[in-house]
Amino acid sequence: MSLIFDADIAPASSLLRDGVTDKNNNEIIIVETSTPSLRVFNMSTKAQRGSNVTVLSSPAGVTLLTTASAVVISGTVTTYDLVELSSLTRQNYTGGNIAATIEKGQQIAGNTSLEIAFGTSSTAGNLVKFTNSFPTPVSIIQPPALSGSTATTIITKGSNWLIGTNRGQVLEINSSGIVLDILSIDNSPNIGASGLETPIVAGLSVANDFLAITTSQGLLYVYNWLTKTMLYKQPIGDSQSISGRGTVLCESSSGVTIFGNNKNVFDNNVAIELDFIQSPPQMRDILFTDSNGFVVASGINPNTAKAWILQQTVNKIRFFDVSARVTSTRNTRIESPAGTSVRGRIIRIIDNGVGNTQIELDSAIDNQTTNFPVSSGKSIIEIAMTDSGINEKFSVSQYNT
Amino acid sequence: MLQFYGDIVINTGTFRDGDANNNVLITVDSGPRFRKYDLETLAQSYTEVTTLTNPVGITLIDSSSAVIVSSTVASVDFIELSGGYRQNYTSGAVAASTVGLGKGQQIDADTASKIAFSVADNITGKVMKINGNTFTISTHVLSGVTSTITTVLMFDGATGAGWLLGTNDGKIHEIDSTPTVVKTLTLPTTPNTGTAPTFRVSGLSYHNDRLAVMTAEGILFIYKYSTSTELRRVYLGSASSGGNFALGSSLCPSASGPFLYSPNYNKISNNSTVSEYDLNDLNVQETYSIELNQKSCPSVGIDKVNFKGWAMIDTTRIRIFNLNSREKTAIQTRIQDPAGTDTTGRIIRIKTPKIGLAAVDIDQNIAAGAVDINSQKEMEYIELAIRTDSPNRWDIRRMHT
Repeated sequence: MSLIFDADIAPASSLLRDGVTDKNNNEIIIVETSTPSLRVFNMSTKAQRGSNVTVLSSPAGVTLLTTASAVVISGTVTTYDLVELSSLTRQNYTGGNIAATIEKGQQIAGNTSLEIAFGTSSTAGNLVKFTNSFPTPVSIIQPPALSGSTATTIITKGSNWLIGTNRGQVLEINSSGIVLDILSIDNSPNIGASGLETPIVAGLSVANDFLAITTSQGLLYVYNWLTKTMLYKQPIGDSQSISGRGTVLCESSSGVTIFGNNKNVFDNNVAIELDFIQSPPQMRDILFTDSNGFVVASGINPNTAKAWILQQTVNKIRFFDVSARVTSTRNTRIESPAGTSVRGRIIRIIDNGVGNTQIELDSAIDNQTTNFPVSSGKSIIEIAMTDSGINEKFSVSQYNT
Repeated sequence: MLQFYGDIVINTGTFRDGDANNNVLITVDSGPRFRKYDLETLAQSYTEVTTLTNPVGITLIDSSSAVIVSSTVASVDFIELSGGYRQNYTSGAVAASTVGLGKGQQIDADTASKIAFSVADNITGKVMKINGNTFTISTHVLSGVTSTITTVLMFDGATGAGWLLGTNDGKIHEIDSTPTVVKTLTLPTTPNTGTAPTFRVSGLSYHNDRLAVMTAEGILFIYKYSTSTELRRVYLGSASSGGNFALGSSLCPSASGPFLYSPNYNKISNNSTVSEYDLNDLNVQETYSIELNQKSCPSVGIDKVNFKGWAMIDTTRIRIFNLNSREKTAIQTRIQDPAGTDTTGRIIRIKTPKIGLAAVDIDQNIAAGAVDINSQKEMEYIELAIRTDSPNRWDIRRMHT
């Protein structure tokens, strides 16, 4: 069992909408639409710090912009809030956009080192860029590759961002909003391709070069981001409504993400710990809540191995302890001939002795050094393959981690 | 892996359930009609036969006949397959009314003994037994069963043919033909947030001491059945709250490892999916995205003889798929080092159907000399050979069986 229930918080007079983990202060910052307010809770003691901060109407998303401030966006108004977190003072600003949807997290994501955040917009083609730079802290970015699409899901990826859209794409952008890379979700295999709904990205989580995607149509995909190779696809349950909602993921901790169903389900909703670096991806644990209410957002503090979900109907913040797989980093690349990096496939096998082996990793690899996490304390057999057919080449190595 | 083969379409009625063997697919629909199809040509064998009212389940009871139960009337139909001759029996029968219409796996038979069991009467612990030798019907209230039976699967257990009965309180009872309960497995209710969840079993599948249990709440549990050890749990998506969604998604008898899954709840998305799950490799092998306005699938199955799978996608259409045969073939191997000198060693065979799905199939020591090792036909493999007395000496080859 790797997901252990810790405790609940039921913030009074609230309708939860989104949250963000402040790793440095071991806090969770949530926004709710009943008051509406922003509230800060300690993830260990569960105590609220300070009082509720009244924010703009219908808050749809919250993220850290700096280590000392948070941005709040709305599902109904174009203004946005900056909240100074130590004093819990709020300032409202004009110049934003209405967020793409409500009751689904991952609509705004910030990089506190760069002091930049990007948020979704209900206007097709728009991204909203928030900075700590005054007098013009906000701007509307319109990447050409986003033209005609609505950004529905945003997460950070190192110093860049990944933008999921309502046209089945994931774009990687830099801090200037320049599109660096694009992935188009492959709906194969399928029957009746022309009649299939275009996937709407609802959740994203990235770890090393692995990307987990969930859609409003109720599918979970795992891709190798560098090679754009689909590694896994399975049903995961659809959403309450199709307009941009769906199961959200959260930032990963060593390839582990947490999520719950984004609709009112039958009997009991769940919190799920997904390790999407393993092959195939493993739901390492499924925890049963006492409510059928839908989950709007989730998060992990990797510093403390504590995770949370926001569950409506009961309006609770639920905390869990997560026992992630212990991994170490291992740089890998394929050279053929020696000195020339090439694309290929890596298979790693955990060798526990004759008759007791299992696959840990099976992924495409790009023509560059790639860090694939590997389980610690194991004996590993690693197979590298490149080319195909009569030109297929193999290399085998064995090592202990 | 799945490969779409073709469609069976009817002009009127709603498909309810089916069964298949040796290239024959039999179905019942709301007509009420019985139909028989050739799975190679997908042609209907003869004019459909009017059955009892509200047929909810059908199963082959021997190689030449089938039985049909109703969700509302206390009678059973016997159908002779060659010509569609129907005979209705009422003595001793009750309505298979526990779950009602729209979910498969409410009846299953052992064709060797010609005994079938079905859900019955919506009464705790009650099953209906149909004897195809004597054409007699009886009902039994099972001792120790604490809820209604929702799902029935015949399986070849350790001591011979038996039936697995899923219930409305998260249990699976194994019965013999008497019927007497010989074993009970209870689904886990942890971890949870303080209140144990309620599970309703909606689907069952079994192969080689591995039991798959699907619940209406959307969780698939996989067990090592002999020890009741949970191996895995996977979230595939729950029905929404409200309405008669206690049905849940059924599974089907496994064909040497794989079974099919398709969501059986009123999906928001107009697209559905059909997935192949393999109990040998414990993973989702493939997920097909399905177009059209197809929201729920009451019944799925696999013809174990010709490895054709079928899924009743919504009302009037059955989708037929080819699956990779799990038939084994002997593949000779030997280790020589140097060339010409046989030596002992270890052989690891890894199935590699596509990137992301590698699975260890064989891992054993071999004696010096040629050895035949059974492996799956029509499969891509990588074979590793390791010298026993010098583990750093390897060889590797690609195999297509």
